Parts: sequence; structure tokens; C-alpha cells
Amino acid sequence: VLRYFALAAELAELVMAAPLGPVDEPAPVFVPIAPGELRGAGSEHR
Amino acid sequence: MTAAAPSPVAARLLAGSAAGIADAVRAHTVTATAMVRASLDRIGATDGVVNAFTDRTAYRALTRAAALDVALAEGDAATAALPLLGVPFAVKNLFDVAGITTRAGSKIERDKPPAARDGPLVARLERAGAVLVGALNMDEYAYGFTTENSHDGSTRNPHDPARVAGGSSGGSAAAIAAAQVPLTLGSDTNGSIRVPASLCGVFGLKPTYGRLPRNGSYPFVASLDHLGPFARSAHDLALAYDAIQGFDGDDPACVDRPVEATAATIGERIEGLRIAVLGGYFHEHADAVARAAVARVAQSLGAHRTVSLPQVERARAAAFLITNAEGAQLHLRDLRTRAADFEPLSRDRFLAGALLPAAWPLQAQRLRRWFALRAAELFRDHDVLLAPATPCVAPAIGSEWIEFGGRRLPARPSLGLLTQPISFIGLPVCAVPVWGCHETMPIGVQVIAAPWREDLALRVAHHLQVAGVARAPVAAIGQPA
Repeated sequence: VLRYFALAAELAELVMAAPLGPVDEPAPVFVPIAPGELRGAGSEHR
Repeated sequence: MTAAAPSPVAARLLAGSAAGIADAVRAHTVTATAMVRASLDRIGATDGVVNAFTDRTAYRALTRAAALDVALAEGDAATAALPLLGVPFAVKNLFDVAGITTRAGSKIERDKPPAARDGPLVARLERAGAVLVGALNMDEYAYGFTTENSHDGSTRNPHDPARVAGGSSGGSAAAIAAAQVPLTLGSDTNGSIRVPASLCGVFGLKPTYGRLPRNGSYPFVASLDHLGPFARSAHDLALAYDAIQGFDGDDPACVDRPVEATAATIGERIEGLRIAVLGGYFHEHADAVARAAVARVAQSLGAHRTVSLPQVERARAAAFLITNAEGAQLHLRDLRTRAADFEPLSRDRFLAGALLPAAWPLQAQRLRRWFALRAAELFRDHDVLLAPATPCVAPAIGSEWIEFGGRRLPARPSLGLLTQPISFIGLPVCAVPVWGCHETMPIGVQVIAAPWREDLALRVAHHLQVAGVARAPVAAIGQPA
């Protein structure tokens, strides 16, 4: 576990040093769900 | 249903293509039942070595094949027109199969009830005439690149059983290389289709993220998971891919796009396509064999230009962190209460992931969009990019390290070094197998296209196969080398 965490921490250094600005939004975009769209809301187990 | 003598015609067809099988069944040269029997016989004869299958659905398959044969005998035109008529296929055991527990390579899920229905992709393949014969081995919860699974045993590489098959869809690739079936489905979060395709010497397609619905399959990392097919030809991949396309709102990541068929245009010319080799990181993290395979493919395609994506190492690191954190989150409850029931290799990865600070995967998701924008800029001037699929050929089972270019890297996570940055931003990729760069083993090359252009990746893969540069021979299991 510690060896794997150390690998993750080493890679995190790279990621955290990325020169991102405030306008660099995250990739996943939350999509609001209207009642009529509930079939695709994914509340059931896939 | 009684046992019948094996059909030599069916056995020969099984070692060929899915398209060839469908044509032969359509022409009444062989029955769907004989094809299923040939597949089950081949699995019985070879799986003691390969260990690709965890479940066999013989009764279901023979029942389904018999129904197809009856419909054909009655002259049913709709059945005769099915593109995958009588083609035996199998799926990674994270796909829902009615009546079988979806275990995702784990011990823990075995306690759960069987799936009530087939997942959408399984159902779509059967609607296209294919016949499910079983489920396939994988790394536990898809977290690995080697299919070393202590619950079900390691899947062995059909071309050299002392070596890994790759993972996490190792059973899916090995079953193709061993000619147990001509068509399988797997999943790819960080390379789990492309890595085993490379190491087992078969074709694999990872479509664009969001193209195929993933409901009816056990998730690993929802924000990165893809599903896709394996086969021994690019044309078979296209037939399968065309059959499984289509929007399904039950997967919130599935994008509502029309079916964009690829098989009919796969033979179109590639002249005019702007093809380049991805250099930099992709060159530096490949050994001489992997580099030679890319060079051979590039030469065949007349691709003389080398281009670079910026910050690839960071992109790979970000994919690693998202996977580690999001994958662990899914299993937190079981990690607390049933840690001893996990495969030790997966458990350690999940436990480490449970410890990551939230800032790391959040920053990684921001980097993901930045990196996707850089790739989109590169695709303004290029149609297809080439890169090695794995840094090296299949290592021996149990290997802790791989070494090349004076570097010593941990084997299991490093097999995905070259696939992770590409799936991170959801690009469609066809992995094509190349032989002759290593003395005995194949290695894969990634044919990468812009989002939603699976047709281009498949067309180039098909061209390479027709040119003899890419090929997927059946492994000589049990025969002298």
C-alpha cells in the first residue's frame, strides 16, 4: 500500500505543478436532471 | 441436445474471421450449432493452458444456435441478413449476462445474485446473430494490466504460456489469439483493451469515450471507462462495433449520436489521410521492439512526420490519480469490512487510492480538459496518430519489473504508460498487432483518431492488415514451436 501510495504521491507532484489557470475547468460537467429525464439519471445499479 | 462429431469445416472456420463464419452459415456451408460446438470444443481443448474462460454458457449457446438454424432452414430473410450470423463470442466477466453473477474478476461479487438480463452490448451482439458461449477472465475489478488473478488463476498468453496475456481484459484477448472464439468484448479504462491486444497479438478497438453505453457492465472508474471489441481482423472489429453502437440513456456518460457505421467503408483508400507518429514521451517510453513496430507501420502508411503532444507525462499521471481515487471510492465499504477477500494486487492499489487527498484527482480532472484541448489542436492538422501500445512485449507472469533504455520500471502499472494518456481524453484507438520485431512475440501499435472518428482508425488498421503489416495469427497451443 505504501509503495503504491508513494508512486501516486510522486505522480501527484507532476499534476499539481501543472500551470493551470482559473479558467481551466474540470473535465466532468454536471448535467442537471429534469423530471422528464429520470430514465437516464442512473440511480439504478448499472 | 446430444453430442455430435466435431465438424472439420467448423473447426477451420473458427480459426478464420467472424465475417467468414457468418457468410458460411448464411450459405448453409455450416450450421450455427456446428460453429458453437466447434467453439466449445476448442475452449475445452485449449483452456487448460490459456485459462481465458471463467464461465461457459453451453446450454444457452446451443439453444440460441439451434433457433438460428431453424430460422435459416425456414428461409427467414431477416435471420439470413444478420451480420454476425452464428458467430460465437464471449465477454469479459464484468458484462451482465442473464443468469450469471457479474463478478468483475472478484471474489466479493460472487455472493451477489445473477444478472437479471444481458447488458445492452451483449444483447446487441446477439441481435446481430452472434452467439454467447461464455465469460472471460480479468484483473480483479479491472484494476491491472496483467490478468494475474488469484481467484480464477492467471490468464496465460497463448503465444507463450509463461508470459502474461495483458489486462485487464486478458481473457478477452487470449480467447481470440487461441481461436476459442473470433469475437470478444472487453473494457478499457487506462488501456485494458489495447494492452492485452498488444501482448496477445490481436486487434482491439477502444471507441471514443461516451460512444458505447456501459450500463449492464460493472464499472471501474466511471469517468474513464470504455467498452469495446477484440477480433483477429479490423473488419471483424468494424462489424462488431457497428452492431453495438447506439445511444442508451441509462449510461449518463453515453452521448446521443447517430450510429456511424464503419464496416461498409473500411476498405476505402487511405491516400490523403494526414498520418503522423507521436514522438517525445511515446518514443522515450518504448523499447527497441515497440519503436520498430511503430516505424514499420509508419513506413507502410507513408507517415514521415513526427509530432508531439505537450505534457503527456502529466496526462498519464493525472489518469493514474483519477483511477486510483475514483476506483478506490467505489470499494470503500468492502475495503473496510472484507479487505481479506480482495485480490492482494488490487487491494493494495485500492487502499492507496483511498488515502489520496481530494485535491489530486480534482486537479487531474482540470488537467484532463486542458490536455484534450491540446490534442484537438493537433487533430486540426492530422487525421491519424501512431504510437506504441505497450512499452515492450509480454513479460513473464509474476514479473515485478520491466527494463529498457537503462530504466527499471514497476511492470504492472508501467504496461499502461502509453495507453493511459490517450484514454484519459477519450480518443478512439484501434490497436493493431505487429509481428517480426521480436523473435517470438507480437507487439501492438495504437492507431489513434480524433473523437468520433473510429472509422478512420479502423480504415487504417484494415489497410495495415491488407498490406500484411498487421496480422493476428492463431497461437500454436500445445504444438512444438
